[in-house]
Amino acid sequence: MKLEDRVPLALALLRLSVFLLMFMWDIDKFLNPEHAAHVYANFYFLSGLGAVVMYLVGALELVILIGFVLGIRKNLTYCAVLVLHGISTLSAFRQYLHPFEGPNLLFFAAWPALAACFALYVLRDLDIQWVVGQRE
Amino acid sequence: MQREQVGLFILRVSLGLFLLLWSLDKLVVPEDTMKIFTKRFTTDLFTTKKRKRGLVLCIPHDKVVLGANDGHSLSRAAVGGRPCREDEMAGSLLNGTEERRRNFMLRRTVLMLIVLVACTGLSPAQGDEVDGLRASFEHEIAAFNARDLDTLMGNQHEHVVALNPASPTPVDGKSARRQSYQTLFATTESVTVTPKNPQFRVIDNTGLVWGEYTIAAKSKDKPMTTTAVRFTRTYVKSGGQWLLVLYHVAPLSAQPQ
Repeated sequence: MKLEDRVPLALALLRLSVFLLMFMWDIDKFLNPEHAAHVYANFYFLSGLGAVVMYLVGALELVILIGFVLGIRKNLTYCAVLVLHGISTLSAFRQYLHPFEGPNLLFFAAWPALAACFALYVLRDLDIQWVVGQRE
Repeated sequence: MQREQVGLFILRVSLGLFLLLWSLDKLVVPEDTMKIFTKRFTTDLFTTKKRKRGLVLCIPHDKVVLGANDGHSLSRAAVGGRPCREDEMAGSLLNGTEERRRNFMLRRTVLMLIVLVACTGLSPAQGDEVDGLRASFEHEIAAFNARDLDTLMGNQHEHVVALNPASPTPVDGKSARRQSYQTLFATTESVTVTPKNPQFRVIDNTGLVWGEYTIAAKSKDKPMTTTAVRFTRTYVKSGGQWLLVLYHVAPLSAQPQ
């Protein structure tokens, strides 16, 4: 496979896998808003958020994610995904301080995913496979 | 450093750290690993169970290797390779000595794996070097065909020298080379290079690429021409990047009749 084919394929697979990760968390806001509110309270120090707020946040995030996975407005959607995932990665700082307690090791999976978001953002013009947006 | 390299470097480092932490977990809290192996991989490291007709086929640990026998655990000699009943095996596993043996075996296995991986990773990766050279070459060809001058110049050494029939004198230096490309792109509608079975070799920090390629060029107001040439490219590795220092291309000699 030629280099010009390999790079877009790898980036497309990265994009799809990052989308899957964030999509599942987004769906959680619709199916289990109490759990999502609990996460916001524990990790983002935003307590008392109701189900309606979770639905709104979930809807906004869903719009961004659909744009992201389809490669629409890459400057905007890729950057938004990078920022959103960056916030959620950094918000788990307490777990990073005690890596070998309980399930805390699982939180470290956020870092490679964040690196994937970064790679997608800086290489967005090369991410041209399976996109419907303008090839920027 | 090119942004592709930055992106891949950050990916590699974060993945490496993530997996390293899981490796450390096996040393720091081996009990967790045992639980994971048992629950996720349904694997008991010391007995292999094969449930058939109510019997359990025991492949017990070797007491010589373990260096101890508490009188309860099943040994190969005691079982004699026969299928044993489940209650026999249960009695052998539920005691503290067995637990310690498990931990010992697990630690030893994990350490051996780590040493194996470390040794593999530290050995000279000549294949990786050739792959890197190949990627650099393919990247350059793709950039040339796409007329992407900035990318094309990205892996050229400041003191690159190019010898080709299109220029009566050697093209000496990166800026002269850029000028040469600009002239070529300005005077042609398209130029496509197609390598044919290129060969790659790495000697220390020097990379060689040679072979043949066809050049299909469409000059403005002229018909398309296709030329077969032989080329050599010499690269040096500097700052983790293969940089082109010498480029030589010559028409293929006429085939003997």
